[in-house]
Amino acid sequence: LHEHATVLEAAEPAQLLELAANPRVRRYLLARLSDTVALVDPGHADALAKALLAEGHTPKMVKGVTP
Amino acid sequence: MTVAATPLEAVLARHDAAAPDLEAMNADDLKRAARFWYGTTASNKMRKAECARALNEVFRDRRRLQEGLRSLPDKQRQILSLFRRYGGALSGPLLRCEALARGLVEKTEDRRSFYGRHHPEDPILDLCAKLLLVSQHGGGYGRYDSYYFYSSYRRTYPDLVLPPGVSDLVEPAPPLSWHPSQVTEPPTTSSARPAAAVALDLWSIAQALAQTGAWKTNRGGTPIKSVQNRLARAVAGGDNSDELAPPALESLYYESLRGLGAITVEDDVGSIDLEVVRHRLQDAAIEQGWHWVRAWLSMRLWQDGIGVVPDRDRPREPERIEPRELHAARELLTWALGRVAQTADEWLDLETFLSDLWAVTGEETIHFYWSRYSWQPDYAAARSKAKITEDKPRRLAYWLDSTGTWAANALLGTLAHLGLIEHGVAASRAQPRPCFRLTGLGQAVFGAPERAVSEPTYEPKFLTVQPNHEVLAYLNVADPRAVWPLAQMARRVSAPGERVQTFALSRESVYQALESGLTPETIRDFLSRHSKTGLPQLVAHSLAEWGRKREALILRTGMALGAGPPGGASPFAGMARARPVADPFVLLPPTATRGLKECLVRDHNAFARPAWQVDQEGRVRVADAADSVCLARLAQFADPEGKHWVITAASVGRARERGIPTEQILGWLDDHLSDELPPILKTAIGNWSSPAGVFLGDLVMLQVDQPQAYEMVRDSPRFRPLLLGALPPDWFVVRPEKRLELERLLTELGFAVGAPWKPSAIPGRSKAGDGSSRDNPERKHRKRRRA
Repeated sequence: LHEHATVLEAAEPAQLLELAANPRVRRYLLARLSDTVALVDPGHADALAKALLAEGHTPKMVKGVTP
Repeated sequence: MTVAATPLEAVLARHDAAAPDLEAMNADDLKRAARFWYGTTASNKMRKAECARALNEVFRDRRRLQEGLRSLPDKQRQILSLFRRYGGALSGPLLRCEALARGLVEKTEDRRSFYGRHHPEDPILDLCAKLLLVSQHGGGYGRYDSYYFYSSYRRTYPDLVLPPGVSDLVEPAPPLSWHPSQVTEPPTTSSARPAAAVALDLWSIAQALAQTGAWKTNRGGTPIKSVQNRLARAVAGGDNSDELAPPALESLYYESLRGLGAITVEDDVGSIDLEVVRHRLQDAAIEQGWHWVRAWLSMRLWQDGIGVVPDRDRPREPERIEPRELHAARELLTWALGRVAQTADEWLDLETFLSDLWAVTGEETIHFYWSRYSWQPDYAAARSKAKITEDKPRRLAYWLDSTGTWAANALLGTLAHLGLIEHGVAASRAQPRPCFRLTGLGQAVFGAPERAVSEPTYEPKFLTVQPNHEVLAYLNVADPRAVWPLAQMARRVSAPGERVQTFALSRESVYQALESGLTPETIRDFLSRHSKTGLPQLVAHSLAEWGRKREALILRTGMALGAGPPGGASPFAGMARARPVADPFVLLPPTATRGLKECLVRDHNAFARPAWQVDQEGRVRVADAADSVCLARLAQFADPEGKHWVITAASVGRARERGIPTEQILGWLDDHLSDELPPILKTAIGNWSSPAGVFLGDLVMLQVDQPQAYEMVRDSPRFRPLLLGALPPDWFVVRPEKRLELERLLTELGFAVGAPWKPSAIPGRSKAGDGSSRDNPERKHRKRRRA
């Protein structure tokens, strides 16, 4: 059980693949949990958010499980 | 025309409370008070403790208080009414000015200095003696509170408070009006800043602070320079030629936000609560303006016409006006504007107003020395001031040029910028003269509670949205309550000083708005409701698209990730709030994990733990207790090799291709190694990512093993052209082409060229022989950090 974990969820598998192909984003993604969900390296959630914004993405920041 | 009047109390109202501290008073003071309340005969028989008890009873007995108040002379009752008018408490300078203006005390002209001079006829001190006025600490007619600190030629009073029970029995004093000593001609040009522009700027600064997160502050709570510079961009005006504009606008707003209670500073770190700002900006304009003035009154680290000032003084190099003096001056200027608000809506010549202010405040109540104001008006009365021989005009001239200039900056700079004053220029005379009047907002704020000015009717449709995503906001007709959300969803692209301001809607600005809690529907509704021309189809489409794109990528933090055993029964199966991701993973709310005692729990907020051992060849042994995330990290930069893992040039190169830099690999190793990372491997990992250059080749070397001879060769001008460098303790690198010449020189000097070379020790070598140092302080620090 991983407490205080961070995941990145994409709407489409292709979107996650596209993100994983970008080294500036990929470095913070530790493992793929499913086609659309990746586990973020502990302690790097803020860095990933900045990297996504810098790459022109607009991720919705959500705390907790509910959408 | 009007909507609804907003009842406000006087902007200078204070609600300090203090009861007479009878225990601390001396017997004489108690007896003096008792004589008023119980008569001379009865009080003369009382001892100190009895006096205190009896006086204590007075303030619990409403009937006795009423009788006492009825027996007061008329002037003393009027003075108590003044206190009621201002909420029950008055500062000493304000009390003095009110009492002087109403003829309740007289201005003394004797300028000789008498310390502790007694003024038996002073009605205020007499009320103190009767304990109907007490100091903020509960003192009465004590020597440390009042008349013993008389500065002789002018009356000064401490801050005083009505004791409990008295306030309800006194009627508030009526307001005073203002009578300018000269009639002012209407201006030829004038300008006033809309309140909506102030609200917009306040929000812009608050939003910029919120985006900064927590920020470092200087002593006193002002943000450090880099944060100030960032804030300055949020309110940077386009017109730098406006000499009346207050300096360091961003800090004026920052201190206003502090005064509004939105900013907290603890341990030199500041933070902002945007909810407080939102709540305040939803007030009616008059109420907002009232709070802006209250915040300005208490502002310590931003000063009118000066800007940001430090929290303390330098004795030999003053950098600010003493804050207590400035507070008193702002209070008296506000008091004067309160009187102006009670009179007809007339223009006031600035110089005449300042001269009148000087006179009605007793000529010396607002007084401090400062000379470097951002705006220096040219006063007719102050020209050639050194040549004025008459005492009063000369004092006025010097006052106008120093303290009066502060007041001018406060009026036409600060208060005009806050939308409370309209300023203009009367150009009918030979020399144009600045003049001003209160705006509707200013009349309502300064004239409260008597001057009931209703909220103006604002135009609900105060903007236009253009198909190119630009929004034009017409601030002079906009409601301050309605306008600020625009800065939340669009970026201001025009100078903040302009009445029609341009904002740009973009994917980034809308994203920031959505992240701050707005919804796409709220944004669309806001723009549609306030746009004169509706919402263009293209803009509506963009808003919907930007909202969709944001929803398509979610960065989810602060939850638990459950991973069941592969192929086994998941302990998370059947949990109501579990959200399956893909077998065997589920997402869980943090609170849902409390009952799961049998699980192996890893906290990602404290993830560093030793699980790896690595040798000098890069082989990594993994502890049995290593978890999946720890292994996932290892897999990013190492390859499996039997039971172990190995870090190689290829594995580090792959990591680099994935965007993982050396620092990240070293950080992971630091998190999980149970021992130190061998320096040879650390160097190799660095080199595999970015190779470091080294030289390996043939050199002509000269060894001189006698220390004196070595020094001679090193320092000799004859040897210098023949050598490339020196390698202590006994080696030189020789220029290859100069080898024969060097041989000749050495022979000439009697050296035996051709002796065999001797190995020399290399200092500073570690026992391990690998370049590691057991005493490396950086390692010790890392060890401590991990522990």
